[in-house]
Amino acid sequence: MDKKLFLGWMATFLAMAFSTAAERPAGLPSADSDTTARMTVSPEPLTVDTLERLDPVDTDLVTLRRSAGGEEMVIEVAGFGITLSNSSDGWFRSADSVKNRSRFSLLFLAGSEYGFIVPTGLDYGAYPAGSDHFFDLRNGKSLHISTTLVGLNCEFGRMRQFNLRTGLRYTIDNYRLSDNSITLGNENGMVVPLTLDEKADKSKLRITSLGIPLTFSYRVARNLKVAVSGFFDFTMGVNSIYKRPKEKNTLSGVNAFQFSTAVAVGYHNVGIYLRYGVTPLFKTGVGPKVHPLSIGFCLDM
Amino acid sequence: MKRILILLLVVLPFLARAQNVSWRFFDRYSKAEGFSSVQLERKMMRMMSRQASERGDEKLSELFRGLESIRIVALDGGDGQQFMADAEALVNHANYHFQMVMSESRDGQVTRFYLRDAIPPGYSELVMLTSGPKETVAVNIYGQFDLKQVSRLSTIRPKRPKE
Repeated sequence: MDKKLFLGWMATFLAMAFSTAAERPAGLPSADSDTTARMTVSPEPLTVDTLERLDPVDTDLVTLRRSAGGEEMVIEVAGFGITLSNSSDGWFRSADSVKNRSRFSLLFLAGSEYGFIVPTGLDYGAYPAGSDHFFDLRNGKSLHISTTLVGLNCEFGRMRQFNLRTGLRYTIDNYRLSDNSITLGNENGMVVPLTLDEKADKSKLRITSLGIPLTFSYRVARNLKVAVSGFFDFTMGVNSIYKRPKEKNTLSGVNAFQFSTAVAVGYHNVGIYLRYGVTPLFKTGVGPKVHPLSIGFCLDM
Repeated sequence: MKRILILLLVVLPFLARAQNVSWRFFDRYSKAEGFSSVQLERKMMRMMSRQASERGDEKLSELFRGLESIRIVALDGGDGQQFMADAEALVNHANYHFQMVMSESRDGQVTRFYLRDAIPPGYSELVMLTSGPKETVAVNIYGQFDLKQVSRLSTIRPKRPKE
């Protein structure tokens, strides 16, 4: 994946995340919750005399009062008493406030991950000395992009603090080789480094896959979530690419099925994730043994 | 990494723009002739937070600490029609994603409350607009808070004589 394209995606999704955060309720009102009902004028007029006045503000226009319990503030303005409480209170809404909203919802372009790939447990096994280290990567330029194209979200628990998600997930992994003078190829059924005539601008392995994610998340605080995921990915395309200009060749030897697990921590819609490939990247005896580890940020987890 | 930071720097001002426009409305009318206003800004909130803390009201202190501003502008002989038109334009603007949470009409006095999740995440913005024969007032509350209840006051505070 081109770096500019990667950055462009990131900017777009960051903007989407923040704009979604702006639109989406975070415990405050939502179009489909009963917030509107909660916010209608209380049938019982507020008896202001029982509330202690906060001296610093007492003008013709506005008076601030402390609620009887001392945990809330009442702003008297234009004939109304607006009661505010700390936003950290009541992040678990009462069951009544969410019961009208469906527990199931559809997802589109959700749970996106943008991160860097680090190879772990790299073992060249039977490769002859001198030809090993060919799968050494430029970690800062090996990128992982993944998003759930379409999916289903299920909230459960009395306060809907638990979440289960699944769907159809598209993933692109770019393994940028640190040695630009080689590309990956197949010889005698093995994945081997092929020396290029001259050094390329970049040399990489790109793997695209389509899979089924299963993510379980728990809302530990109002906007704080932790999630664990399992990804069942089916490899769709494997290409060995080098640019001099661009040359793309199909590579075999990559496992057709990849299982990986991830943990993530998110605040609002943005978080960080760590994903580990349980299944080795290459088939046993065909390529070096390597388990990709990806770390980065995720949106709408 | 440098490019990512530059992109963030470019994108964030656009995201924060909605808040700035809201401030501009209140800034404009608080300085305009024919309007009276009360603006409780961040420093005032921090001062009240300290006072509440000294009294042992930790919850109230935390609430004040989370509030960034309370701004009130009331019509006092100015152009009420233009004022309400600008206020309505503010809450109905597509960029701001305000949601009306309450509307009431009584004796020709129309009152509406709007809320939105603001930027940065966790911040909220409440706008109250009331107009009618009694008074025309716009209220803006911005910061970290939960709107618990809106109640009609049981007593009308006597107006203070003008000095």
